[in-house]
Amino acid sequence: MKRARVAAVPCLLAALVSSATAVMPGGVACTVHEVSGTPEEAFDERPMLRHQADAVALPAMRALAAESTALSTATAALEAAPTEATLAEAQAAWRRARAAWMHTSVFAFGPAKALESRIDWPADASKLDAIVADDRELDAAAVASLGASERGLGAIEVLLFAAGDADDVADVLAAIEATPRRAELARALSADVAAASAELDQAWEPGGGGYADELATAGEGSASYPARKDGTDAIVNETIFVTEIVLDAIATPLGLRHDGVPQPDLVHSPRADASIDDALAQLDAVGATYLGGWGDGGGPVAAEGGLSDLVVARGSADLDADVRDALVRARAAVTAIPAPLRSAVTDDPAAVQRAYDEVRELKRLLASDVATAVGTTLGFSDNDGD
Amino acid sequence: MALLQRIGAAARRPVDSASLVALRTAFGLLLAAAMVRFAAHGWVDDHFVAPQRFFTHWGFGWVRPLPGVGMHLVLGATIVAALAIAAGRAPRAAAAVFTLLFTYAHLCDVTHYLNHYVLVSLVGLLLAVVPIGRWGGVVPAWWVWLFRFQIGVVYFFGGVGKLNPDWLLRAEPLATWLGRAGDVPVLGAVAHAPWLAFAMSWAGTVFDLSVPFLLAHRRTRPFAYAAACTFHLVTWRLFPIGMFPFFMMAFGLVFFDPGWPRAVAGRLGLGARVGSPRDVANAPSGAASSRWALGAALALVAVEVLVPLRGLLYPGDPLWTEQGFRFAWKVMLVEKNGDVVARVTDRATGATSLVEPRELYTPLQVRMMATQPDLLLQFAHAVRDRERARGRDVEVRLDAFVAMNGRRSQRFVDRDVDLARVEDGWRPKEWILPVAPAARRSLLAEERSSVSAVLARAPGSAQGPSHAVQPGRRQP
Repeated sequence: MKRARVAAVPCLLAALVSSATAVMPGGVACTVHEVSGTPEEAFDERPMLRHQADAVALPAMRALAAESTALSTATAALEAAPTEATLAEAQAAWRRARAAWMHTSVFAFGPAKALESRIDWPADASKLDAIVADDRELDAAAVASLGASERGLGAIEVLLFAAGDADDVADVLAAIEATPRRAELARALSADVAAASAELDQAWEPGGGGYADELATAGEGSASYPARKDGTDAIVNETIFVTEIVLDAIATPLGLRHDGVPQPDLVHSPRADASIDDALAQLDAVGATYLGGWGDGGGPVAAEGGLSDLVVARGSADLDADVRDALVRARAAVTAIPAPLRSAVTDDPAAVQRAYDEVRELKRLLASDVATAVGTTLGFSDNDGD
Repeated sequence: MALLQRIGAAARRPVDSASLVALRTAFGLLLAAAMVRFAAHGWVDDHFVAPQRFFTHWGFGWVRPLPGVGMHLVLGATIVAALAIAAGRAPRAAAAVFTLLFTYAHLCDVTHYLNHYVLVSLVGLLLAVVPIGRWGGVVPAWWVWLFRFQIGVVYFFGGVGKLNPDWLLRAEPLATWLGRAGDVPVLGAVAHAPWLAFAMSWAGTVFDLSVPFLLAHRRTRPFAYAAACTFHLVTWRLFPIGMFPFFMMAFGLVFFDPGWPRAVAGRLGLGARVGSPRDVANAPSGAASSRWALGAALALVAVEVLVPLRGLLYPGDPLWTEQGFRFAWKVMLVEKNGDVVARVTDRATGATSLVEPRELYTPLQVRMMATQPDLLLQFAHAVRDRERARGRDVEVRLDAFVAMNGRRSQRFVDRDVDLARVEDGWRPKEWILPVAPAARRSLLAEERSSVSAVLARAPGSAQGPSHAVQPGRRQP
């Protein structure tokens, strides 16, 4: 019997070490990735998640609510008195609201899933023309019954901006004067966007739905995120997805999906020509999440609490530096595209190609290196592993 | 010769079938629960309805999910069959139905390949083939051995798979995963410590390699089984491995004396109700113990030993190339992520387009595909076939980058190879690029620095400051 026990020692020790080490209290920490040779402390994701929720997500949600309300006000003024000034203000308000929405894009999970089709969705201009042409009531109930392609910022863009190279102000004003219902619809849709944005903000607010707390308390009672890493992984996965969207927004009109033949009509913002601004705002959203916060000018700035902290804590300071550089290069390359994108793809395709290459590099770093360095769980399924 | 005769006699010795009946019951109950869980998570739609295309196993490209509600019906049928297995109602037929449907479902898309699904199919096959009978019967001892082998082989080759530099010298991917386990009770306090990852890596290897033998030995069995349960419960808490730990804990009971359920029932005062086995000592060995049956069993054993070893025939790091990786019990060995895009060139015009995988596959399929060469090849072929359907003959090349086990990403496949012309098969995939030396360069340095850090760190010693964003890198 004694000999048998001795024989079992290796296995017992192994199981006990592999499990008992897992329940050994105390101790200190240092990552096993010490590529740089600099030991790192154990990284507590809680402050980072709290910071992401409070200092990155919530300001973006509040800004969206404010800018959407401003858009609603501006379109109401346009309906009341369609002039060059009120139209210009409505258009400017639309651009600010659109940028604010793009700034929330890294947090397009949770409450946003149910609201995104109300806030921003690709529009169907022909359906909007049909609505303008008919005489049904345009109250909140009527707007609520509209399809996703008939509402949201995409639809409002169709109503506030002229198609192609037409003169935005003169042509749109002429259209509104001919059919005042066009401005009425813009006002009604803007009110709906404002309501949906306020709803989204409230869903995140600590005094409202509390989704910010839900994210910040991942792994500690959060219903949506049973494990702490679930909260962080949701953000990491979304940064990858947003970068993919930017990539697509550039690649498709450039013709990279169409034998190299530019497709100007396939820009994401065909009337307001906001495609470059959209891309920059989305890159800023990724940047703010990665670096840790928003600056006074609305762009991302480095602050404690960014995903960067986690990457460095995993012993990947070199990767962190590369991601930061990639963010800078991607933004610079997109900025360097001569606006609008729909003409740049034919007039200066090299500039657009450079932007594509830089965003592609950013995406590769996020999807491959960052995801592996931090052990991100698949963001598309809760299926089992191995 | 005498040894072989003794083994032969021992193999034919009739033993109580109770442990196999218990295993069968546990199998049925666990799989019924697993299938209900599968449905409750909405995985039938995720796996079989949402995708437009599927990644298939080599040689099984003809396997396709049923349309409409077909796969929901398949799942329902597996639940009914699993319950029939548990209840002992036509158990072999039920096991055959279950195994057929379960295996079919998981052959539909490699995306969802899991080692424990393979184990379920193999145990289900044994339950369909081996006439265990009802409670109170006897079976030849080698039938019990066969089930023990089936369970033991999972552990043993799981340990063999861990004999690689990443696992043993870098403690990867455990170090990465443990580093994110800060919220696990107690463990969270030390989750980042390198010694923990190394200890668990090495201990896991020793455990996997030794536990089947210690479970097989009567005197060490209780300790080994207790160790196994502890091991599985801890891994279940730490990693998203579904019901695998419960399968192994339940199936591991087959290593105990074949009459253990009867002994347990007796201790619980249920002896009268459960009855006693027929005269074990004088029971005939039966036709099922024929040379044919024994030969088939030995053939199965040979296949199960050789298939996991096939990876040795391929060049390169198997964690990287994944050649010979599946059906080899390589569990929890890699943390890999990748990014891929196809460059499609029209042979007639020379015009080139990019095709993103998400144009053809679901996000989950894309993510799984990005790091597995045979799936990348299927992606290239899917692009080729789509273009052919449009009347275009194309070349397909991939820009694929993969990061593995803490390494930085690097190009994964040869960007100059036209994969539209490459067919899958057993031969080594020479278009997979090797892990670059630069990625390997830091292995020993990492190990040394990790060990040095451990050695240098006395209890209570001051630690470095927590990370703060580096000044000077202010904004993108």
